[in-house]
Amino acid sequence: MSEARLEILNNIRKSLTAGEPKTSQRTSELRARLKYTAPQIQPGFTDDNLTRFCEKHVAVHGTYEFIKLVDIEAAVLKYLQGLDIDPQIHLGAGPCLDQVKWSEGVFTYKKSADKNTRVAVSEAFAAVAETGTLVMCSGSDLLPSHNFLPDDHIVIVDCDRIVRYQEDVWPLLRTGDHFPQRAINLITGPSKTGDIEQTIQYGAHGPRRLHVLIVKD
Amino acid sequence: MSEISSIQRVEFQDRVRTALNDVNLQRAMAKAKSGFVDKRLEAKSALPEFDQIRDAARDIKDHVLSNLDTYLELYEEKVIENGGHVHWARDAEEACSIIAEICKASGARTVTKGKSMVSEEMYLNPALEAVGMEVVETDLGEYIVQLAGETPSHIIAPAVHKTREQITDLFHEHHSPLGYTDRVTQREALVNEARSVLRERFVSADVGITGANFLVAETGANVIVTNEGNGDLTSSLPKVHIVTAGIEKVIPSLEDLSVLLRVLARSATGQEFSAYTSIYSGPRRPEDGEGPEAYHVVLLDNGRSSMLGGDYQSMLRCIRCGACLNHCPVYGAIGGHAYGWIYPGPMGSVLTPLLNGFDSAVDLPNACTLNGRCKEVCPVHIPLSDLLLKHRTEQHERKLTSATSRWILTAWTWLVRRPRFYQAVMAIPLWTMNRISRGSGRLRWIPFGRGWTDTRDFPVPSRKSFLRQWYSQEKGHE
Repeated sequence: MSEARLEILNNIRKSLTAGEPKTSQRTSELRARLKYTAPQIQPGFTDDNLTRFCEKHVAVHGTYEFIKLVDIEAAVLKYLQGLDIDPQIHLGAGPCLDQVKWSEGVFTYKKSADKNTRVAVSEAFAAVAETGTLVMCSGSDLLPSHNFLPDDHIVIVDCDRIVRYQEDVWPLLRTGDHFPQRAINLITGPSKTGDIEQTIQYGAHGPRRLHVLIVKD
Repeated sequence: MSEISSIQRVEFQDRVRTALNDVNLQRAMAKAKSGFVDKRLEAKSALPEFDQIRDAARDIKDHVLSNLDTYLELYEEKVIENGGHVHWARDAEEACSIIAEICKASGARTVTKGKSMVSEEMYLNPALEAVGMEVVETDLGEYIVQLAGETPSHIIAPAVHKTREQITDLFHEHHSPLGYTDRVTQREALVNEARSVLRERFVSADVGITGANFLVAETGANVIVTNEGNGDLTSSLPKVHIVTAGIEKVIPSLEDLSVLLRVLARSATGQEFSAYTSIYSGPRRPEDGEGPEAYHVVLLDNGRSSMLGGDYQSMLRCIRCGACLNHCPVYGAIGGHAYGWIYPGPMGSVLTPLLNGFDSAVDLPNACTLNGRCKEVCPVHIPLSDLLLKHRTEQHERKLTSATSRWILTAWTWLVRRPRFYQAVMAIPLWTMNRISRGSGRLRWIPFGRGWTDTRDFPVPSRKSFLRQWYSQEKGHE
C-alpha cells in the first residue's frame, strides 16, 4: 500500500512543481496556517444571538420553549404527555442535565439508543445563532445514537452557550477536553428527505421532531 | 462493472433519444426542474455576502490544490493520531480490493452505505457483492435506485428521475417479502416504510461505508453533510467505519470548513444549512460509550493527480453540490443516465473524459449549448463552460471528432479569415434564399435543415447582409 501512497504523492508533486522535491519549509508554513487559522468572511445579521437562534430553529421545523434549570424534568414530562407515551427516556449528560433529579416514576437509560427508542434527552455542547444549529459531541455519556435513532429528540441548551457563528464553536471545542471528539454532530432541525418528488418529508431516518429546551435563569 | 460499461457502449445519441421519449423520466424531471433553481436563488438573495464567500471558497480550494501533497500528509498524520488508518488507492480497482479486504478481515457479512459518489466511481457495490457482502444503500434516493438496479442520475438527488408511482411499485415488489404487504402510495407512507425497513439494516450492519464532503487536515476528520441522518447511523452503529474520498477533498482547518459549508447547502438544495453536518475523527475513544472500533479512510486518486497543474485543475475544486446540473438545460431535458457515467451534467461532461480517457466520452463536451449558467452558479467558480470548450478544442486537435466536422471547421476557419471573400461567398445563399421564397420571407424547406423546418418555417435573412447595409448607410451620410 505504501507503494501506492508514494506513487500518488510523487505524481501530485510532478504535476504541481515539475517534480521539485517538497521542502520542509513549505510543510512548516502550512502547519502554521493550521495553527493560526482564523475566521474568514461571515454573514452579517443584527438580531441578538437568542432571537436569531430561535428564529432559525423554527424555520427548519424545530420547536422550543424557555425554561428554568429547575423545570427541566417538568418540561420533559409535559412533552412526553403530549405524545401520550410512558416516561421512559434515553438520557445524555451535560452541566444542566446532570443537575436534574429524576422522579421515581421516570425511567432513564444511560445507554445507546436502539431501533425502538422513542425519546432521547440530550444537552448540547453549544448552539449556533447564525443557522439555528445544535452542536453535539460524543463522550462517555454522550452517545451519538441518541441524536439519530429516537422518534423525538429533546435537547437542552444553556442560553449562555448560544454563540453567534459556527466559527465561535471551534475555539470552544479546541480548548475543551478530548478534542477532536470522535463525533461532532451539527444538528439543524429534524431529519428530512426530498428524495421522493423533491418534496420535503420529515422523519427520514433520524428524529421526526426536535424540541429544544432553552435554559434561561 | 460489466453493467456500467455495457451502458457506456450504447451510443450517447441513442441514450438521449431514449431519455427524451421516456414518459416517466420527462414527468419526473418536469417536476424537479424549477425547485432547485428557485430555492438556490432564494438562499443566495438572502445572503448579501454570498459572492464574497464564494471567492473565499474558491481561494481555499486553490490553496489546497497547490499544496495537495503536503495537506494530504498532514491529514494522514492526524488520522493516525486519532487511531484511524489511511489507505491510498491509485485507481478504482485498487480501492475496491482495499475495502473488500477490510470487510473480509473484520468478518463482515453486511455493509450499509451512506451516499458516496466516489464509491460509485469505484463500482464498489458489485466488487463487495463479488466477495459475498450484502450491500445496502441507506440514503433514500440511493436506496430507490439500488432497488431499481440503476445508478444515481443526479449527484445529490439520486432518484430525481423516478416518479412516485415507480417508487411505489419498487417498494411493493421489494418490501412485500419482508411483511410490508400493503401497497403504499403516499409520500409520507413511502418514507415511513423505507425508514422502518432500513432501521433493521442500520442496527445489524457489520461495516458502514460513507463518503466525505470534506476531509479536515487540522483534525484528521471526515465531514458528511446530509438531511436524512442515514450517513450518521452508518458512521456510528457498525463496528467498522470506512470512509471513501477523492484526494482533492482535503481542506485545511475547521474555519475553512465553515466557509465551504456556507456555499455548499445553499448551492445544492437552497438550504442555509443541512439538517446534519457531522465531523467524524477516528474510531471510538476509551471514554466513548459507543462508536466503531475501527476507522479506515480510502483515498482515491484515479486520475486526479494528473489533473493538477494543467488546464483542468480548477475542476478539482468541485464540491459536488449539483448546482451546475440543476441549471443546465441539457441535463434538464435528458436527465443523468443519458450521460453514460455516474457524473452527469456540466461537471460530469468535464470530468468524465479526464477520469475515463478523452476518447471515452467524445459526445459529452458537445452536449452543451455554452449558455454559461453552470459557470455562473458554481460556488467555487469553476469555469465549466470554458472547460467544455477546451475539451472541444482538444478533441479537434487529437482528431477525436469526425473527419467531416474537422474538414468543415478547417474550411470555415479559412473562409472567415478572408473577409472580402467571405462576404462574396455568403451573398450566394442570401440571394438564393430570397429568390426561392419569392418575397414571402419564409422557407418551408432548406437543405440539411429538416431539424428546423419539420416543425416550423425558416425565416429568410435580409437580402443585403448587415455589412452591406452598413456600408450603404455610411455612404448616404457622407
